[in-house]
This record gives sequence, structure tokens and C-alpha cells, in this order.
Amino acid sequence: MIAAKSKNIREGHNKNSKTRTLFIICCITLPIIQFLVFYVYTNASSVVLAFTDTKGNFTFDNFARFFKEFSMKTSSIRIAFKNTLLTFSILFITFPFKTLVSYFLYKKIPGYRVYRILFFLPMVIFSICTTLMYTRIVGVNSFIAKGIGEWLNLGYTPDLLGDSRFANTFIIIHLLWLGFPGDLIIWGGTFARIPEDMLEAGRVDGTNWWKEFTRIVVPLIWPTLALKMVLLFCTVFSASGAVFLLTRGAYGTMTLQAWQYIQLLDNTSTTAYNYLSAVGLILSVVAIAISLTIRNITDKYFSDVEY
Amino acid sequence: MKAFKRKSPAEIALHLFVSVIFAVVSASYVYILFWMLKSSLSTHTEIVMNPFSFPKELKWSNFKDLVRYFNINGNTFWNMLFNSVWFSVLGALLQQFTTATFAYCSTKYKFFGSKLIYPTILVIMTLPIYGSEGAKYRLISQLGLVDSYAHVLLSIAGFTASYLYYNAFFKNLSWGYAEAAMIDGANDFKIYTRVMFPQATPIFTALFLTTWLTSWNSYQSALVYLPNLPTLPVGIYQFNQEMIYRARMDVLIAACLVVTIPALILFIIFNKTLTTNLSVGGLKG
Repeated sequence: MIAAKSKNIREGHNKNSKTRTLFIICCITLPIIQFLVFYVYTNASSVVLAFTDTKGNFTFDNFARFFKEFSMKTSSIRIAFKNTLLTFSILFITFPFKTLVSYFLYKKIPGYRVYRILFFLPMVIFSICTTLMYTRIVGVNSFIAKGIGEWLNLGYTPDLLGDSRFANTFIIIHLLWLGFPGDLIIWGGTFARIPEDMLEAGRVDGTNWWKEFTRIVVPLIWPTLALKMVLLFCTVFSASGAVFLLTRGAYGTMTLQAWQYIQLLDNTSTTAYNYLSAVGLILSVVAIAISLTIRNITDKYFSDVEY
Repeated sequence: MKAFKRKSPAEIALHLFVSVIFAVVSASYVYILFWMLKSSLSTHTEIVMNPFSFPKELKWSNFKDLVRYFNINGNTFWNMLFNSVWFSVLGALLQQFTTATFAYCSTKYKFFGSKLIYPTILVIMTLPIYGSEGAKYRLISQLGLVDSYAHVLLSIAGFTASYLYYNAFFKNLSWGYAEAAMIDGANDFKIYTRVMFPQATPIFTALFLTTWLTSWNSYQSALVYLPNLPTLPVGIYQFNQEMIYRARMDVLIAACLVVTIPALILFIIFNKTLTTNLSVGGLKG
């Protein structure tokens, strides 16, 4: 009897019984409504905003304003663009090093258990506190500022976050310092899945750590690596240090992410977001093109590994 | 010494070298905690005059002053703590539960469009869209969800990166468990809540903690959408902006410490859960 019941269940797996239909509706309704309203509708209305003025009339003025401002060397958006690309380049260059950090933790270097906990501190400690401390480390009274002042023979102690000659560099140093561990959560899980016997086989063949990493580990973690790479390029225009907290974009430190946030924050009373939407649309088109290209490259030249 | 087993001298030297670098970076992170602790027990003048010196006398009253003076737009410390807990805990729970349920349903049941969900999420993740925050703000404002406790409902989700983790998990989870429960007379609701979902607890915990931690420490979104229902991070941000008038750096850093402690405790307890349960796979779907 149990066997017959079991057979019926298996056969009924795809049947739309009332309870099953109700269950499916309960599971999918809210996420789909959320997606349609806050993703599809929001992005569609953002496109509409880009092509309208504050009164709702159709216009290309928002785009014209962008290209006009972008052509001016000292404009906020031009500086933001330049700083964003600089920050992205640094994130791109440091990407392999951040993967290596997780690799060495996986290889159980001395103290790895302690590092595995301590490397999460930048994520756990409240960001305002780290920036408060950092502003004091590089502040006017700090030995770093005094040392730089003497080294460059300035005759005074520079404010490293309040001087356009230094502010960008010290925002990037802050980013590199706190971003040193990389994405430990994703990499920790990915490395943990690598079958030990594959590494053991390599070891028997006498491979050194570099060969093990490049010829065994990288191909095994390739699906995650490719995804992370694509996601990195997807967020090319979001590349930013703690600009909002450290300088609020002053002293030539503005990035596109900080610029967009400041636009949003400063306009909540008027909700005049047409220009923000137009800039966003231009950035989206460029970023989508980059993202698709990178995805095609990763798909074309490298294949996923099953293990 | 166990770690050095079967390693060449060159590899041991490399590991020691890397370990020294890691130790220096780790020490700098620990120093932030130490600085926060000692500054929260210093006077305002001590922090301003010499931010890295040890206080002459430990000023525990800063924590009393935190409760007394930490007031933003009429919101007390306790109001802000409640707001923080409400939006971060409830928000993370809602987000992860709806996403897990959505992923389970689309993985284990066939319905119209179920096969489109996974590719749609990959497209959303890999096709970046910028500048829609303005339109989103207008919509949320029109829905009356700005400065509202109901704002937490926006955490309901399904089409997020978390879906990929749940999808991978449920795909590999045998349907045999469900069949066994059906033989015992369980319906689909019971099968999910009593049999299938409990097995996803480790991954749910890891994703819940990550989401909660991000939300607990985040001030940017709350600053825009909840200016009059400030969370602790928003309160600290605004207090920091007003510091020039209030001159209570000691209270500000005590508040930072209060925000950091719960996150730190939970992180230490669940460290292993966080670092071993999450990994993402390929793009091809």
C-alpha cells in the first residue's frame, strides 16, 4: 500500500493540486510583485525621468547637460569619472592579491585561524569609527602629515584629506587597508569545496605552491573567479572608497558613487532626479557593454570545471 | 607544527613571510577596536588633543552620557536602538526567508515561468543599472514608506544574489525527503517548513548574518529613507556632523563601540558558519 501511495506521490509531483497551487502562489507572489514594482517599474520610470524635465515634458536637456559638464575639466562629474576609473583600476589590480589572501588562509599558514577572524573586523567595525580613527592617523597633527610636509619641503604640515594634492591618495590607501582581506565569505566557501585529493596528487608530482595555485586551484575555482570578475566589471562605476565619510567629495575626491548618493540625499525635498537618471542611463549603457564583453571573454576562453 | 608537515623549506619560508604580513594587517584592525575602546573611556579634550594617548582616568560616565545626550531629531538612544533592531533583524529575516522560499519553490516545482527565474537573476546581477535611486525614492515616497516602520516590507525579496546560494542548495537536496513526508500525510506547506527548510538552516544563518551585519552597520540608505526614524548608525552619522557644536567626541565613539559590540559577538560565535557555507558557481546557468 505504501508503495502504491509512493508511486502516486511521484506521479503527482507535477500535478497542480489545490494545496500545491496555493503553496506555489504563496511562495512566488511577494518576490514577483517586489521585482516588478521595485526593479522593472523603478528602472522604467528612471528612463522616463532621464528624458523629461522637472515638469514632466519630454527633453534631451539632461543628456546635453551631462555632455556639456563632462567636457569641462573642472566639473564635478568629470572629476568623479576620473576618480572612479582610478579606483576601479586599483580594485582590478588588487583583485588577484585578494584571492591569494584567501588561498593562503586555506593553505593554513601559521595563525590562519586568528587571521580568519580578524580579517572580518573591517566588515564588523562600524565604518564611521574607522574613518574617525583614520582621519586622526593622517590628520594635521599626525606624524604622517608632518613627515610628508618635511619630505616635500612644504614648510607647513599638510592636511592630507583636506588638500587636493593628497586627498585622493589617502582615500585609496584607506580603501586598500580595509579592503586587504577581500571577499573572505565567498572565497572561504569556494576554497573549502576544493577536493583535497586533487591537491595531494599535485603534491605527489612535486608541484610547488605557485604551480598548485595557477594550474590546479585556479581552474577549480574558475566558475567563482569568472563570476567575481564579471561582477567587478559590472560595478565599474560604483568603484569608490569611503569618499562620502572622509571628504564628502571635496578636494577633487568625488567619485560617481558618491556623486549619485549626494544627488539623492540633497534632493529628497524636491525629488528632482531627472539629471541623476540621465547620468545613470549613460553609465548603465556603457557598463552593460563592458559587462557583456567581459562575460563573452570569460565564456569563450575558459570553461567551467565539474568536481 | 602540524601545518608545516610535508612542506618544502621554500614553502615554509613563504608561509611565514605571508603570515608576518597578515599579522601586521590584523594588528592594525585590532588597533581600531582598541582605539575605539580607549577613546570611549577618554574625555573629549584628550581625544582632540592627543587621539592616540591613553586616558589619564577611565571615564565610564561616557556611556551614561550616551544614553542622556545622544538625541537626534527627538529620538533618544533607546529609540534609535529599537529602530536599528527593527530594520536590521526583521529586514534580514524577511529578505532571507522570502528568497529561500522563492528559490525552493522555483527549484522543486514546475510552474509557468519557473525556468526563467534563474537566468533573470543572472541577468540582473551582471547587467548593471545606475542612477535609478531617484526613481526609487519617488516611488517609495509615493507609497508612504519614507519615515515609516512599514519600510521594512521593502526587504521582501527573491531576485537577489542570495537566490543563487539557495538555488544551488535546494537543487542538490533530494526530493526523497519530501516524498517520505508525503507518505506520512504532510502537505507542501508542512514539507517545506518542517522538512526542507530546516535542512537549509546553515546557509540561511550565514546569509541572514551577512544581511543583518550589512544592515546593522549601514547608514546610507537609512539616512535617505528614514531621516526621522534614525537607526543607531544614522544617529552616529548625524551626531558626527553636529560634533562641531556639541564637542562630545567621547560620546560619539562610545556610540560607535555600542554599535560594534553586538556585531562583533555574533560574528565571533558564527565565524565558521559564515566562512564555510557560502560559495557561488558559474554564469552559464
